[in-house]
Amino acid sequence: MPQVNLRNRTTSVLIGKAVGGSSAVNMMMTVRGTEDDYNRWGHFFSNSSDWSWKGLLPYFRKALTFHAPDAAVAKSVNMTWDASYWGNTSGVSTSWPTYQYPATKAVIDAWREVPGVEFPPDSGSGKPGVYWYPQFMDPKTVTRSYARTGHYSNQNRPNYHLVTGQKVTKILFDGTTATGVSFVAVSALKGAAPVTTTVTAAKEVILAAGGIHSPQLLQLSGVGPKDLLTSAKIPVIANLPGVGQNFQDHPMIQATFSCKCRLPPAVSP
Amino acid sequence: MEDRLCLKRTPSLHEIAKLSRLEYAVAGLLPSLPWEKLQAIPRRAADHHGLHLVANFDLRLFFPHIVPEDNRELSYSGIRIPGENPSSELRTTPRVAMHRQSALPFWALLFAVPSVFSLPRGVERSTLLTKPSDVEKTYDYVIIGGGTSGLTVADRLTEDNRTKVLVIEYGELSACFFKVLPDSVGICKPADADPSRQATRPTSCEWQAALPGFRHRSSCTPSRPCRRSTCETGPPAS
Repeated sequence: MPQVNLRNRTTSVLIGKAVGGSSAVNMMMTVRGTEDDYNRWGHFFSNSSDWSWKGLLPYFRKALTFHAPDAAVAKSVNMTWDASYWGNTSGVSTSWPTYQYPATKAVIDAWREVPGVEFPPDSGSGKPGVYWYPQFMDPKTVTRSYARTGHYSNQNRPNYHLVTGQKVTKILFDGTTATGVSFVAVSALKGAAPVTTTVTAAKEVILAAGGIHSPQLLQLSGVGPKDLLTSAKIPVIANLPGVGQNFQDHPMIQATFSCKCRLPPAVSP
Repeated sequence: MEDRLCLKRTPSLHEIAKLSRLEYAVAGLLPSLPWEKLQAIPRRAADHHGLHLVANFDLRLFFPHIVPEDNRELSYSGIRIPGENPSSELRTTPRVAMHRQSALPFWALLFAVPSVFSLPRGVERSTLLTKPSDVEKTYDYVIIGGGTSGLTVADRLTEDNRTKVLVIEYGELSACFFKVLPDSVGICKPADADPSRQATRPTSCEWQAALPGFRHRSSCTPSRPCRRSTCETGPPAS
């Protein structure tokens, strides 16, 4: 969809199609949004909403186990962090590379000469500025730590079923209460008449299909803007005009530049 | 784990044996039950007798160059017998139909692995289903999407073993899709370092000491052995 504020450019939105979702494909940067962002969200609901920085911080802590960087590496480039913004109970880890380019130190020093730039104590402090951030990485295996490794792989629970390769096509409702889900095998999607399977939820259906597919599935199931649903001949369960609107993504800008001076490592590979 | 990631050719028996001593050990590849028999155990009966079908795990995680006939046949499965010691807990049996071009003869695995029996860490052990017919009729919670939030919620809910949870995921347990090493991670560790040594212990933080690690890692770009039909190959062209 052309973005007015991007001179009508269109861009792709990437999402992870794998067990672990986009946590399986992200850049492994452990960076939170700012306090202001979360408080703005909270104010959409009320001035005392728990969807605020203060309300969310305990869950940010719970979500990740923080590992401090290696002391020698930290010292080599004056790394700073504040463990009080982090937790230690999650199966998902965030940790640090065991090597830092010495030039990083020079870049950070250069930022200190720029007026108005803040240096928050930690990437998780909710403050914008220049900071060191850890990576979604298991420090022992030096591999990605994500929802699959932290919340699935290490469990051994017969009551925890995961079915893969299945596309949920509809949330089933009894009146306005979600009671189950219907799905088809992805491998059967191209067939003439894919077999639909339904499963019932005794307690709850939890929609966790991501920022793109969650609203899409709600619309397909009859929850969304009435006119849109009617035009697609979808029976309306609930007229919720906001479903599928106002998608926001975070922009990322990278600056690349050449140094005139000679920076370490000054070795030819 | 670099050894696991860097295999781009047929591993020797020695290498397989080395791999299997790592914590991602290819444990229990020693078949004790033919897959047909295992499949014939209905889930409920299995539960009743205290047998649990353990999750399939993706062989590509261990041997990325193996080209299976299709995604589904890639995994190994087994049964877990609760209460017994770990050495007898995991008995797996292959359900792999390998290509003729597969570089790894299956007997090589059998030959190499008997020394390893412990339940490997990092291998999925909750119940993985790949067919709609394996899904039960009713669960307490049905979670749509096995991603960042869905798996987290499923993990929390199943802490109570009376709560039955199903997660429905579009994607697969796929090795070809996820990049296990980030771009910006340096590893101060020579390629041939002792695997038992934690990678967090740099040999030195000097560039020269780190360089072998970088070089080593640069050859670790996960190969893409999977077929286009079964895995993403990159972002769509905009």
